Amino acid sequence: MQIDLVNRPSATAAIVRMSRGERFVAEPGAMIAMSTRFSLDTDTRGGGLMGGIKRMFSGESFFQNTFVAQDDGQELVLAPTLPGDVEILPLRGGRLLVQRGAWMGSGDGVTTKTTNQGLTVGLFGGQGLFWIECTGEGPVLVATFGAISAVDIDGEFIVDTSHVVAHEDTLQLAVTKANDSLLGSFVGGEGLALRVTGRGRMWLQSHNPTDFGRTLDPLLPARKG
Amino acid sequence: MRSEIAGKPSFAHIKLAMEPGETVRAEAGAMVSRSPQIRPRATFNGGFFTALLLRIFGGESLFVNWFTAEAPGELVLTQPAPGDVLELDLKGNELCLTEGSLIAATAGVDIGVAWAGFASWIGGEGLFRLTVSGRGKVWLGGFGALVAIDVHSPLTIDTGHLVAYEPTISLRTRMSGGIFTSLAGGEGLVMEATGPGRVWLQTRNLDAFAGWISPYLPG
Repeated sequence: MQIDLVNRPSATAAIVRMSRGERFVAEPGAMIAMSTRFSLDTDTRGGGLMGGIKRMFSGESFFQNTFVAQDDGQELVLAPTLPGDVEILPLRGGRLLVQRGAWMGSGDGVTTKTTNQGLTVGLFGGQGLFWIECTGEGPVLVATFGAISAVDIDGEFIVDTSHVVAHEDTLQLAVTKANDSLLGSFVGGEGLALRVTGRGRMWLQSHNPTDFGRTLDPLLPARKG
Repeated sequence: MRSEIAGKPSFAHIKLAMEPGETVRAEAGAMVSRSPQIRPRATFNGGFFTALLLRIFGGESLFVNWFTAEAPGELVLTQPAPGDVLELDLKGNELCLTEGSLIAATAGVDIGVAWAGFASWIGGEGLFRLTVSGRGKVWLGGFGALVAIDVHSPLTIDTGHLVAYEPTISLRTRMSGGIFTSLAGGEGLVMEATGPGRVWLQTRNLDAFAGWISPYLPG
C-alpha cells in the first residue's frame, strides 16, 4: 500500500494505491473516486452497536467503510469535505489521539476507538469531550481546515486550543491560561491554551474554523425564519 | 528574527524563530502555538484612547498581544480567513491598511489611524484608515491570494478587495458605470486609485463569499 497526497495544502486528496487483498477503512463520504476492482464492506468494524454510537460522539459516523482491493494496482481516492490539508500519520505500535472529526481513514491494521482526555481538557480544551484513539500498525489519514504541520516536542509547548489535530500519547495535555494573567488571557483574545508536556510528536492545523466562523458570521445576510 | 510564510497561498501562516529580547505585536487571537520561553502580554492597543480610536475607526481589536522571547523559540501566528500572508519591510515609510488585514508587526512599527474620507466610507472601507509606519516587519493577511499592483494610470478596484496601499495613492469611490450598469452589472460601487504608488489586493472577498454561502446554510 502506498499513499500519495496531491494538491496540498488547500485542496488535498489522498490517493491510496493498493494491491490485491489489501484493505483500507474510510470515513463514509470520503471516497471521491476509485478503480473498478474494489469490494466495499460497511459495518461498525467489530465495535457493534455501542462502537458505532460511541464513534458518533467523537464526531465520526456510525458506520465505517472498508475498501478491499480485489486486484493489484487499484487506486482509492479520498478527500475531506473542507478546503484544507490531509496528512499521513504513521502508526507503529504506539497510540495516537486524533481530534474529533479529523480522522478520514486508516489501514486495516489500525484500530480506532472513542476515548477522552479527562474532563478539563474535554470541557475547556476546545476540541470536544471525545477524541479518537488509534492503535496498531499502519497509516492514519487526518484531514483539517488549514495546513497541517508536525511539531516534535521535548519538554514543554503551548498551543491554542483549536489548533491540535493529533498527538502521540507520550504527550500530556493540560488546560492553561494563554497569558500570564487570567485577565490578559481573555482580553488578549487567546483565552485558554493547552500546555503540552512530554516527548513526542504533535500535528497542528494552521487555521481555526471557529475564528473563520466568527469572521464570516456578521457578514452573512439575515435569513428568514 | 527569522520568518517563514508556510502554507502559501491558501492557508498561509507565519512561523517566527525569535531571539532573546525580540518582540512581536499580534492581533488578538492570532496565536497558533509558541515555545514556553516566548512570553505573551496583553495590553491596550497603544494606550486606552488610541485603542478606542483603533477599535472604533480602524476595526482593530481593543487589546493586542505582545510576544517577547526570553530565550530562542518559535511563535506561530495565523489569520481567521483562508488566504495568503504578505511580509513587508518598513524602512521609515508608511502604509495604509484596510480593516482586518493587519496580523502582526515587530516592535519598531507604529500603528495609528488617519482620516480616509467619505469616499472611502461609501466604498465600504471606513471613514478612517489604519496606518503602519516606522521600521520593522509587518505581516498582512487577505482572503484568497494577494496581488501587488503598481498604479501609474488610474486603477479601478472592486470594493472589498483592497488590502493595503501606499500613502501616495488617493482613493475615490464611483459607480462602476451608468446607473443601470452599476445596479444590474453586479459591480455596484467601485474604487478608483490614482498613483503613483503601489496597492495590494486580495483575490477573494469575504462579503461576497458570505452572500454566496448563505443560501446553503441550514436554518
